[in-house]
Amino acid sequence: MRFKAFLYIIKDGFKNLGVKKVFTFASIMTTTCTVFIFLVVFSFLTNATYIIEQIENKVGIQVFFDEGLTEEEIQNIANENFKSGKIKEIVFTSSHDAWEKVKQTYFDGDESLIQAFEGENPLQSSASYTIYLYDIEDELEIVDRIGKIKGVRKINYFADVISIVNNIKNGVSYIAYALIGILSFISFILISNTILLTAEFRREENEIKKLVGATNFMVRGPFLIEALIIAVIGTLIPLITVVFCYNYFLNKMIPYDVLMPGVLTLLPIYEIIKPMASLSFSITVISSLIVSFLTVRSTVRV
Amino acid sequence: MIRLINISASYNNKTKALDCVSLDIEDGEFVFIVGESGAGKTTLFKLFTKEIKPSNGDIVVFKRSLNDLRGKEIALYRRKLGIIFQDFKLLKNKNVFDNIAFPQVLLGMNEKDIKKRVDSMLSIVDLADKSFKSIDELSMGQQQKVAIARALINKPKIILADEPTGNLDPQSTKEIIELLNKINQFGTTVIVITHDMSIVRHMNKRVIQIRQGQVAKDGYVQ
Repeated sequence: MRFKAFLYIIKDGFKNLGVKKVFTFASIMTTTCTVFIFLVVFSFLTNATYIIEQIENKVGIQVFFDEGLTEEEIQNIANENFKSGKIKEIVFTSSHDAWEKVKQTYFDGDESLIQAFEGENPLQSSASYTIYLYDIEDELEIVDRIGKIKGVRKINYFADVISIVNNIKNGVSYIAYALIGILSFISFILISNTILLTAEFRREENEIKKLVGATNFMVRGPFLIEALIIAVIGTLIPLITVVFCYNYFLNKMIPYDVLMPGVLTLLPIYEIIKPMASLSFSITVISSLIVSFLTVRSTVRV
Repeated sequence: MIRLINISASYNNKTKALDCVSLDIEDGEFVFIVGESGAGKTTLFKLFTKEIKPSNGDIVVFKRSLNDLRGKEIALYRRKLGIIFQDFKLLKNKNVFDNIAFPQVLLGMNEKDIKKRVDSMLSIVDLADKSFKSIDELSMGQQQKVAIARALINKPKIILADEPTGNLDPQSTKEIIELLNKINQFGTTVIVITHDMSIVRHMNKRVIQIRQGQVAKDGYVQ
């Protein structure tokens, strides 16, 4: 295929778009809707997974101990009981460290507020251990075991949060996949019909071209280009919209760390734009090429 | 040389359009293929252009059997022919220049060479001032000249014309036949399929008459 002939195919592909404008518009819009839903779901699922990962890696299980126990006694309990192949790491937070963290986080270093406590540490009995696991699935088992240890007063853990996030994630996935399936089907049918109509409209022209010596690719190529353009425009519109909305959502409506200040955050747009764009473009471009190839092969015979 | 060897062709395995036709056409010949409507002329034309396959026999063009051509080879074969149709078969959405240039685009020629060739073709068919006219702005005779220019642009060794004067007035008919004759004088083989005996009588050329799918006569008519 010579470059000049290839350019001719591309030019003809663009011309095809104008042959049946309403169908072209409908094809682009259906593709846009499908990809938009896909991108919204993708953003949601990626963030849900990211939150679960953060809970696994950052939050851990917090264990508090009976009042009156010294920090040495607490560390002994930990050394004796917090050893397991399922535990990745344990981190001790003394009551002093806990109070310092509260002062920084909630009082923002405001001395007048801190002085109200007259130099006393109100978190005297708040020395704790944070336990990080290799697999969050083991959390309930570990919590159950630690709860039975003498001297343990309270355990904070996030199995419920994770379970809720997971349930929402699964629910949204099922609905979204069903929607994407239906819309993809409609999109394929519309792209196929648009190509069929263009092919019918240009039947005589195609016959002339083949009689003058055009190869299969020269005659069919413009239809593939047409489908490709529909796919690219139909992906570009929702991609730009989702990027804009996502940024607006993060900046104006909710802060990045809405769930747990300083601990749980949502992904910034630059983290998800690349997989979002590559995935959506790959899916639409490949599927539209397959649809158009099959349509053209069965209708535009050379 | 073009060689037809015992060619038979039928439609839907019932209607026999050609029955055991054998012919040789030498390089550089000018040949009229004549016959009544339904005699099998158009079937013969479609066999030459590889639009249909023979039910029997073979056609050898450019030393290759047309039965052996597959896929892209058919397109490449057609590029070596100059084909002229009764209904011109011009691309209506393109202007005169683009129609004539199309076979060159298929070959991937660069724009400069294409322009040079198209201008030269336009001069030959006497349409140099119509380069950027749309097809609908031309008379029937001028449209057929555009089709001839398109057929000539790749410098084919064979010109195949199916009723090239069928839709033309007597003056345009005369011009087109003279043009084909001129092309033939440069060594191009010209095969004209027609039912119009008046144009055949004016030329001292080989005439092959087809009747009921068979060669009825083959010779020169004064």
